[in-house]
Amino acid sequence: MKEHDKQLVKKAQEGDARAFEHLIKKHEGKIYKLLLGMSGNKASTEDLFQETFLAAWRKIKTFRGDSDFSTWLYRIAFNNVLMKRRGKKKISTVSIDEPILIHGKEINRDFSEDWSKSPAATLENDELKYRISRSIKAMPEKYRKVLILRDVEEMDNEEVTKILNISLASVKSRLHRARLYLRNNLSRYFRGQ
Amino acid sequence: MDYERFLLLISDFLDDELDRDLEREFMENFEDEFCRCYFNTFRRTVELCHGIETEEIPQELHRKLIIRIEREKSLPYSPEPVRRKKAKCAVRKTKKQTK
Repeated sequence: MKEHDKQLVKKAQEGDARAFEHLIKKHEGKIYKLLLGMSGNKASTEDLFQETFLAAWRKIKTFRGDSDFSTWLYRIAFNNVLMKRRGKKKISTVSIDEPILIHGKEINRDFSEDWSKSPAATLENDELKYRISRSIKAMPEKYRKVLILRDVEEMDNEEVTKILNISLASVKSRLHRARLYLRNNLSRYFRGQ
Repeated sequence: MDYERFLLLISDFLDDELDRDLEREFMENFEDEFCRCYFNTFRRTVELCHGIETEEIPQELHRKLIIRIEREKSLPYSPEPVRRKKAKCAVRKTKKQTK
């Protein structure tokens, strides 16, 4: 854990709310981004955001410093998302477990158009931005978590394994499936579907 | 062309996680136009994800959170729901005993 975080955590554990506020300021941007990606809705994100930091404040004395403070915080955030989902109507997600592109050894060539250099393939294109966020939201949670941490938050595999408490092989395979699924959805967008 | 293998390796190639031999094997696929196009769009998808930026946290939200934390801090004891239940039982018990 970084020295500055260590000191702040120690003070917060002694009940120093100002030290905890410094920790909030340091990590709130990433947590907000993560929660927005997971919930896809501003109102839920705001609730989850407050619940995450409140839970962290309540539990700060139990934080032993075995992991980074941010890793611990991410775990709390994911737990909150999970708790919120529990008991709610199941959100319909798409299955991305089945092979998407390959039928036997054949690949679906409908997907072959190269849109990568299209002027529309930019985040300034609001429609595309919406399509990406909708596609991420439609993914089953286990894939979405990995995609957000790896490709949106740009964490490395090691950090993701620690936060999600899953093996490196699982991180890699989930990320791979999520990327394939997202790419196919964007290809459909560029084909006007 | 073994597209199945191509797709299997595409993420690891992009993340620079293939050893030299596999990397060479993967790059041979670029001779195939479809694989080239597929790889370009796959890479662009990941780049787009990297570029996703969310809006700034509303200032009001940060302020609300700090107020809630300060409020919790000023409480002498903020029990978990389960503990609260136990505490109530304890109160009842002591009331019975005093009776």
